[in-house]
Amino acid sequence: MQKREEHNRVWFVAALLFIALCCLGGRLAFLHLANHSKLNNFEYSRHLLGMRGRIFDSNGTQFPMAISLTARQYFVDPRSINQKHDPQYIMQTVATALKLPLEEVKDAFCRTNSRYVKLGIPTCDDVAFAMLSTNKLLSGVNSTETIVRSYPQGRRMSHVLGFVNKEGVGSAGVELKHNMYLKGIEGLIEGEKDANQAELRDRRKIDVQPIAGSDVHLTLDHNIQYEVEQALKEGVEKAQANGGWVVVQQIKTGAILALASYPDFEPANYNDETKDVWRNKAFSEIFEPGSVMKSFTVGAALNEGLVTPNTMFDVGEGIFFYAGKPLRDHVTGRLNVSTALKKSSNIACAKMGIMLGPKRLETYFRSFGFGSPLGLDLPGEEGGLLVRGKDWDRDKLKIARVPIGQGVCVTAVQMVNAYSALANGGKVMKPYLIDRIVSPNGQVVLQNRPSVLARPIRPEVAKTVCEMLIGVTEEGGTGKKAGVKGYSVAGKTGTAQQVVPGVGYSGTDYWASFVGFVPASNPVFCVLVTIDRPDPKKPRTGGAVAAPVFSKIATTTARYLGIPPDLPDDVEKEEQQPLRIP
Amino acid sequence: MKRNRKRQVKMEFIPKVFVAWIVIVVSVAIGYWFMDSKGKQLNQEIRKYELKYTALENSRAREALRWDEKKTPEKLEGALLRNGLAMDYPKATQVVRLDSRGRLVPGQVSLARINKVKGTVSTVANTH
Repeated sequence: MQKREEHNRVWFVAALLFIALCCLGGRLAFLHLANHSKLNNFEYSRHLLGMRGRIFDSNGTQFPMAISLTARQYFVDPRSINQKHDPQYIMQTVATALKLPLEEVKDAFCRTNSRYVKLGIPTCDDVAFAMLSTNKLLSGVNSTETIVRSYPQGRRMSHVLGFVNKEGVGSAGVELKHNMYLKGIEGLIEGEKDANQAELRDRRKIDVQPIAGSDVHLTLDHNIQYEVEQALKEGVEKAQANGGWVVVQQIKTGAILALASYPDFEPANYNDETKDVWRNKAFSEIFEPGSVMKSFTVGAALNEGLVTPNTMFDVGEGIFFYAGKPLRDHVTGRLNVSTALKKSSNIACAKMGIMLGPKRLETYFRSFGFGSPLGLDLPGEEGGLLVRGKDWDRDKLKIARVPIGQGVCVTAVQMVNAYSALANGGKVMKPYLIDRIVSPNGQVVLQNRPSVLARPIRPEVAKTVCEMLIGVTEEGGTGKKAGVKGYSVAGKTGTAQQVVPGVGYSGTDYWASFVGFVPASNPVFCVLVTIDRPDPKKPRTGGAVAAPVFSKIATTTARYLGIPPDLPDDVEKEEQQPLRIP
Repeated sequence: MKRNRKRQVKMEFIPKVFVAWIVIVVSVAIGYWFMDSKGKQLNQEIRKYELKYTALENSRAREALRWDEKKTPEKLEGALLRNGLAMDYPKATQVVRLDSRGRLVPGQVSLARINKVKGTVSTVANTH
């Protein structure tokens, strides 16, 4: 009897367990078959943002010029405000946390036809995040993680760096040109989440980490760039000009040390300025160089053996008729080639051009890098305008105008590169401003090295032209204001009338330029300064407007680079002064 | 004879081998459950640290940016001016240039040379 009772108990328990098991099985079947969509909601997916690479100057990783940061973009979903919450309190808290005007926040909350109304710009503020994410009395306000591009030095190198648009894509400058290297690759995490929407780490199925973009190292030095931008701004404001641009290039390598264009803009807020301001006019604007072109005409004539530094030219009363048109000159009488360059004689240089002939002149100018892009590492480089082939025959006047820098258009980078060639024994180097691009794992993916593009003139001819150019900055020369204390300077002034479309040359608008290299005895760097449309009521020649800016830039750059002075007289004078050691 | 109620009746209702299997399976299941929960706990901790690491990394990047913004030439210049100081690049006479053997580079102006003339002792060598 007892045995039977015990058997019954066992069977009872077994039946209970079986029923429980059936219930569990039923529930499992129900979840999988009847309510499948609810289970799907537990799937977790997160895109990990790939950081954009950084941009550094030539001083290594100490001074980033552009970096990326994660930030939060806050947005309002007016329809998801909890009825129990006070909208006024929500708006006030959001405005305070995000430092936005209350009216702007109110306006966002009133747009009930949208479920995504952005609040201001993405912010990196941790305090705001803490205030908005932990407050239980807030609803209708959410945020998404995003990447923002920051430029620690503000406007510095703005035309070189460019900017990224709101989608994070490079849209100008280095940011555009090397977008494929700079952009990061997104990562992905997929798995499951719990009821609190938090990821269940152990259910992670896909875990692909993001890859940061490569870092770009420039050849530009932010200290030189700072001095250049300051001097250019002062020069433009003093001349009451429309703008200006400066290029500083290392002569032996062709590396660009500074490249500035004024007016500039703030890359982080690029929309504050017009599109015209975004353009880097140092290589995307072509201008008639004027007298600075004469050095190459003289160089070509010397190289061909048509003239020597002492060959005499008669410029008469300062007027020369060619192809029925007069060419005027401020110099009169007889003068040799050296003096012609020193005093910037139009007629003497035009005669040298005529002696060379169109074919040879064009060949020399093209060899110096004019008339086609130099392949700079930036987008929008112009090639300039240089008469070619049959066009010389169509306009007979050209051969008397192109040698003096009229009827030919160049970019500032082309001009500085050509002068660097004169200072470099006739070797035209390829200009570059990207030193290297390094991937996040330290691998160098791109390395620029100095390369020679052409050798248009012999080293001894180049040396002769350089010696002639020293005279320009000496007493009696047109570029006396370009002098640098302690250093010999070789250079050339240029003042060219601007062309008014459909009218001809403007009587008031000029480009005033000075290009030169320091020290003349052993050139290290070359600088070009161009001031665009200086005030016509003031002196507007290259010697008056651009040369002082050159002097300021060259003085600071020579001292910053630690270049030994080559003028002993000045040095001795300096030595006489009491030495003050800081 | 009275029946001994305390005497245990030996029942062979469930075989011992079966009980042993059940015990083993249950032990493994409990062990698995324990390990699984421990693993989950560790995973949650890893996730928490991952989030913390990301937050710290972002915070570090923001601090670095603030520092970089303070190092710009104009900010440094402004800070110096506020304190009544001014900086300039060294003059030619304040730079000593030596070759790889430590000898004065010929033809270069040097502080040492000036000091020798003045009969003073060299104190500063400021180079770039």
